[in-house]
Amino acid sequence: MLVSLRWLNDYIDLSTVAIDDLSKTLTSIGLEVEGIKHVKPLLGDVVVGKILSAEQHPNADKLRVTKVDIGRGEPLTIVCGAPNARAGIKVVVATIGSELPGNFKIKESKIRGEKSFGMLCSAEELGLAGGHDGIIELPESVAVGSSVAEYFHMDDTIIEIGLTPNRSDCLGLIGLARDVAAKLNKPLKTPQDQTLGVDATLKSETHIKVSIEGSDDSRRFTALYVADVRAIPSPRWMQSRLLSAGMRPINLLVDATNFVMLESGQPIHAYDERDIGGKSLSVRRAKEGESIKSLDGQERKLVPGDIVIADAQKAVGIAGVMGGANSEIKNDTQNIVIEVAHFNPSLVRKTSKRFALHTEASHRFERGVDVQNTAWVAKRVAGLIALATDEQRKELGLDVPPVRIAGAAVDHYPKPFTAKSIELRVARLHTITGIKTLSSKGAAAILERLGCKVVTSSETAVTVTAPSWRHDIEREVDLIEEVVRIHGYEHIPLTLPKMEIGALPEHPLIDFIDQNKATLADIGLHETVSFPFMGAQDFEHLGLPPEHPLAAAVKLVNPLVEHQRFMRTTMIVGLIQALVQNRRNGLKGTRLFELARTFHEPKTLSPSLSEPWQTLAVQGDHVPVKARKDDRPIERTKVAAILDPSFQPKTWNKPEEQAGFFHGKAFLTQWLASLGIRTLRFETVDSKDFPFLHPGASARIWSDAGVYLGWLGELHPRTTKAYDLDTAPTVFEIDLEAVLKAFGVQKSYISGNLRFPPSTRDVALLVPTETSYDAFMKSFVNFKRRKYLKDQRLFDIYQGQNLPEGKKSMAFSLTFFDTEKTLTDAEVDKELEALLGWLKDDLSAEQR
Amino acid sequence: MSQLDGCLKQIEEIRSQFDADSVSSKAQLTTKAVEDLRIKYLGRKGLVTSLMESLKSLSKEEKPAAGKVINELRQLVDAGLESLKQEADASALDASLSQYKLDISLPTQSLQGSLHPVTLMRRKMLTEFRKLGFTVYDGPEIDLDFYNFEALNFKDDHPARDMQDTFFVADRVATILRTHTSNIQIHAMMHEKVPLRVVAPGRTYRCDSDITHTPMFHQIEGFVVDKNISMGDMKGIVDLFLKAIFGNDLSIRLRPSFFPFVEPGAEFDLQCVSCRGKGCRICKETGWLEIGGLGMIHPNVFEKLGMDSEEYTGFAFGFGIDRIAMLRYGLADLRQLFEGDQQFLGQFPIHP
Repeated sequence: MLVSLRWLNDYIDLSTVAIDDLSKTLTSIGLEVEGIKHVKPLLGDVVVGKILSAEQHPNADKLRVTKVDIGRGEPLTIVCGAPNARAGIKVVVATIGSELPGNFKIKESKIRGEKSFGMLCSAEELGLAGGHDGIIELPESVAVGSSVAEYFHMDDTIIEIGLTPNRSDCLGLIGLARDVAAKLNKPLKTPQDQTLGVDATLKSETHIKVSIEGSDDSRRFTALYVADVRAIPSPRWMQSRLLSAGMRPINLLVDATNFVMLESGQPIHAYDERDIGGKSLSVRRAKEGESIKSLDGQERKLVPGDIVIADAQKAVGIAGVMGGANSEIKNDTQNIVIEVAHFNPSLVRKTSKRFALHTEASHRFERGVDVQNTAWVAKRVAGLIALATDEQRKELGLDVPPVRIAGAAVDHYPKPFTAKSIELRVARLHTITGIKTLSSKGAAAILERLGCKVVTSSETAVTVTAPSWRHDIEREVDLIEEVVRIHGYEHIPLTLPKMEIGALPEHPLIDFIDQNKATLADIGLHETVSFPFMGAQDFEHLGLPPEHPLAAAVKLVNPLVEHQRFMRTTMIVGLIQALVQNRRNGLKGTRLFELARTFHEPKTLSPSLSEPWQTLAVQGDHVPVKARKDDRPIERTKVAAILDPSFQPKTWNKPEEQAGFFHGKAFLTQWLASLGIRTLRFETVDSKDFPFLHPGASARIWSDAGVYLGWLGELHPRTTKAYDLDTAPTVFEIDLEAVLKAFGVQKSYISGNLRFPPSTRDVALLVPTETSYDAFMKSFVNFKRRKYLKDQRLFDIYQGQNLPEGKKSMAFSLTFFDTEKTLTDAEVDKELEALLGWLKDDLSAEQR
Repeated sequence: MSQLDGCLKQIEEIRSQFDADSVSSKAQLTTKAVEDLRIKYLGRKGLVTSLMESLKSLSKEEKPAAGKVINELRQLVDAGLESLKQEADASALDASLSQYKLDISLPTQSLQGSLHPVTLMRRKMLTEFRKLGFTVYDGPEIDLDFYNFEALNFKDDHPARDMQDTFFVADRVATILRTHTSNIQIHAMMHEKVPLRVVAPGRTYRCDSDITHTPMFHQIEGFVVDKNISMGDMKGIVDLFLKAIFGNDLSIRLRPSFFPFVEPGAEFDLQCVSCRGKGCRICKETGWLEIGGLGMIHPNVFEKLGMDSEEYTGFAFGFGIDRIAMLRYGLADLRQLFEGDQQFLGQFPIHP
C-alpha cells in the first residue's frame, strides 16, 4: 500500500518525526515498510510570478517578450509563446538553473534574437493533468515568489507498506494513523463533521429505497442522496493525493469516493440518480443467466453465488467488486446516490477470484470493512463534494450551483454491531510474552489508544470490547498481541524453555537420508536438487503406456507450465534434464545423484503390480501412521543417479573413459557396500516393466537378504533420442526405504583366528556362452562339500579362437582358508577336485 | 729371524696394506671396488688366504700363536670390507635416488563428489537443533487442506490463503502440495505426546516463479509445546540458532507480523550479512534480512486438535533453508540451486 506522508500528516502530526524514525516505528508495530520514495518533481526555483508587461516579439508573430516579477531583484525578461501570456496574470516561472520533470533543465537562451531568462510553464510541463493550451494562470490570491511545488502539493514522501491481510483497518489512512498514534502516544486527528450544503428538507428516502435480501450477504447498506452536483475537476490537493496513492483523478464526484475510500478504508459507490430504475436499490444474489457490463466495459456473466446491487429492473453493480457501466457518473450527472455498504467478505472474494478482477474495493471488502462507519463515510463523501465544489467555484470562477445534501441517509442496518467483551489476564500476558513488567494499567492504556473500550479493570485483569474496525481481535491472545506489539517486541527477553528431556524418538529414515547423501558424494557423485514435476511428454519419451505403474501420476490443477503438469513418478526425469543442460553448457562427465521423493496416484495404479513396482502401492514410512489412513497419494523416498557416457576425458596417465552399465553397477555396489550390503543379486529386466531401459544392459537389483531395491541400466536408445541425447547415459533408481530394510538385516562377521595363510588355485572353466557369472556364483554357494573355499574372483573371460563354438572360458582365482591350521596341498586339491566335479554337474563346466 | 717372526711381519705388512687400500678405495667407492678388495685379500688366492697356507710351514708350537694373529687379521679385513660395502651400497642408493625425480606437480584424478548447498545447510541446521534437544520429524509433501490450512487456523476463503499461492491436486478432494512445512506441526501434535520440541526440514511448493521464487523450495519448521512456553523462549531459541549459523556478531530483530496459525505473530530479521546493517543491494537498503516467520502457536490450533490451549503454550517458526544457504555461502542466484549445473554443484564440499 502506498502512503503519502503529506496526507498521513492530516490525521497525526508527524512534523517532528524524522522519516527514518517513522519508518522504524511502522515496521516495529507490524506495518512493514518495504520502501520509501521521495517525490520532488521540481528542482531549483520554480516560483509564482506576475507578468508586468507582455510585448510583441520583434522577430516572431507568435512570441511575446514578457517582464515577470518573481518577488526579488529586477523583473525577469522571458520570451513566451503561449497565447494567454498577458500582463496582470499570475504564472508559474521556472528560473535559470531549475529543473522540470523529464530532466528538463532551464538555461539562459536567445530566442529569435531576444534573450530569455527562464520559462513560463504549462500544466503539462509541470507533469500535472493538462488543462487548456497555454501557460497556467494562478489565482490572484497566490503570493508572488512563493513555491509552486508547495502550491500544487507536489513534494511528498511515499511510504510503501506491506500490509498483512489481518489488518484491514489500516487500508485507510485514518486507521494507519491510529496505529502510529498509539505507538507514539500522539493524538489522532479525525476529519471534522461539516454542515456545508446539508439541507434537512431534502430526504434521501424520497429518492431511494433500499433492501437486502439475504442478511448474510450484506450487514448494512447506507444510501445518501446528494443533489445539484457537477462532475467538475477536483481541487488540486485532492488530485495530488489520489495520484500519490496511484489512482487517476477523473472528476470530483468519482474522486471524492476514492479519496474517502483511501482515507477510511471503506469502498464507496456513487450512482447517477437517473439510472436507478424504480428509485430502489437492493442487495440480492444474481439470477441464473444474468449478466452485467462492468465499469471497465467487460460484459460479465453472473452466477447465483454473486451478490449484486440491483434497481427495480436490473443489476447495476457487482457488489464489492465493481460498479455497472449502466449507472456510472457521467459528465452531465446532477444528482447522485452515494452507496456505502458492507458485503460478505467470502462471497466478494469468490466473485472477485472468478472474474480475476481484483479491485481496490474487493481488496477491502474481502478483508472486512467497519460496519459501524458507513453513515459517517457517506456524509464525509457528500461533505467533501460540497466543500470542493465551493472551493472550485471560487478558485476557478466556475458557474456551478451549491450542492445540497440530504439531511439523513437511508440506512438499512437490521442487526447492529455488538462489541464482544474480552478479558485479558495479566498473568497470561506475562506467560505468553515473557515480559513480567507489563501491568493491567499499561495494557489498558495501550488497548484504549487502539480504540478498545475498557469495561472493567483490576490489578490482575482488564476486560475490554474491541472496536468495530478490528476484525482480527477475537480472543484474549489477540489482545496480548496488541499490547506487546505496541509495547515493543524489543522488550521481549531472551530466555530458554525449561523442559523435560524429550523422549520423542527420531525416525531412522531421517538420519539415514543424510548418511547416504554423504556416502554417495564420497564415492564421487554430485548431489543435485530438481523440481519434482514432469509433463505428458515425459511419459511419452520414457515409453510409458497409461497402464504402466509409472504412469499413475499425481496431476496438478494449476501447474506453472504444461511440462510440470504431473508430480514425478521417477526421479530420472529431472536427472536427464540436468544432463541435457550440462551437455548444452559444454560439460562432459556429468555424474549426478538426487535423493528425494516420487509421488504416485493409487487411484490409477493398477491393482496387480509386477514385482519391481509393488512398493509404489505402499505409503512411505515418513508419513505418520495416523495420516496414512487418509485418502492421499503415495510418496516414496528414492535415490537416483545418472552417468554421462563420456565419463572421464583422457589424462596424462589414463586413457579416456566411457561410462556404461558397469560404471553404474560399480557406484551402486560401492555405495551399498558402505552399509554392509555386500552381496547384491542382479537380474535381467522384462522390457514391459522398463520400456525406457536398454533391454540388454539393465538389471533389477535385490539385496542378499532378498529385499528388492530398485533398478539400473543404460537408457533405451529410443528414450535417449527422445531427450535429444546422442549417446545413452546410465541411470539407476533405488528405493531408500528398501535399502534401510536391507541395512537393518542382521549380518554375520568372521572373527577369531585369521592368522593361517590362505592357499590359492587358478582354474579356467569352459562353459556354454549363455552361462552367467551369477550362475557361477549360485553354483559356488550351493557347493555342498565346501569346507575351505572362502572366495572366488573372476579374473578372465575369453571367447573366440581356439575354443569350441558356443563355449566361453571363465577363469577364477579360488581362495582356500581355515581358521584352525595351515592347509596342506593335499587338503586343498581334494576340495578343488570336489568343486570341479560339482561345477561339471551343475553348469557343464569343463576345466580347460 | 724365525719363521714365526717372518710370518708376523708379513701379517703386519698385509694389515697396513689393507688399511691403505681401504683409504684409497674411498675415493671411488663402488660395490665392484669392494668386491675387488675382497678378492685381493680373502679370495682363493688372496693375501690373507695365502697366509693360511703359510701356516703349514710353521712348527707345532708356533702354529697357535700365528693362527690367532691371522684370524684377528681376517676378522679385521672382514669387518673393514663389510663397512666399505655398506658405504658403497649407501652411495649407490644415493646415486640411484638422484636419478629418479617425479614432477610432483602433475595432477591426479580423484572421483570427488559434492553435496548440494541446501543439503549442507540442512545438516548444519539439524546438528544445531539436535544440540538444543530438538527431535527431527517428517511428513508428507502432498497433503490435505486440513493439515496445511484448516487445522492451522486458515479460515476458508480468507485472503490469508492468498499469501501462499497453492498448487492443487486434480481429481482429489482438498489435496494440495504443502505450501509450508507447518503441516508437520499438525502431524506431530496429532501423533505424539507433549512436551514436544521438534524440527522438520523439507520441500515446500508454491505456484510462483521469478528471480526470488521457485515453485519448489525448502523450509525448516520448528516448534516447542509445553506448559509455560513464552515469546522469550522463542526469541532465545532462534537467537541461539542464528548465532550458531551466522556467528555471534550480527544483531537480530523480532517484529510483529501475521500468520493465521500463530498469535502473537512475528518475523525474524538478521542484520545484513553483507553490509552489517549499513544498507546494500542484498538487504534492499534496509540493513536487515528477513529470515522467517514465527510466533506463539494460536490457541485455535491447539483446540482444533483437542488440546487444552489454557494448559499448553508453544511457539513455532519456519525459515527458508535456501535463502539461509545463499546468505551463508554467498550465492547470488536462487534458481541456480535447482538447475543441476555440475560446474556449480561440484564446488561444494561433502561436510558442512
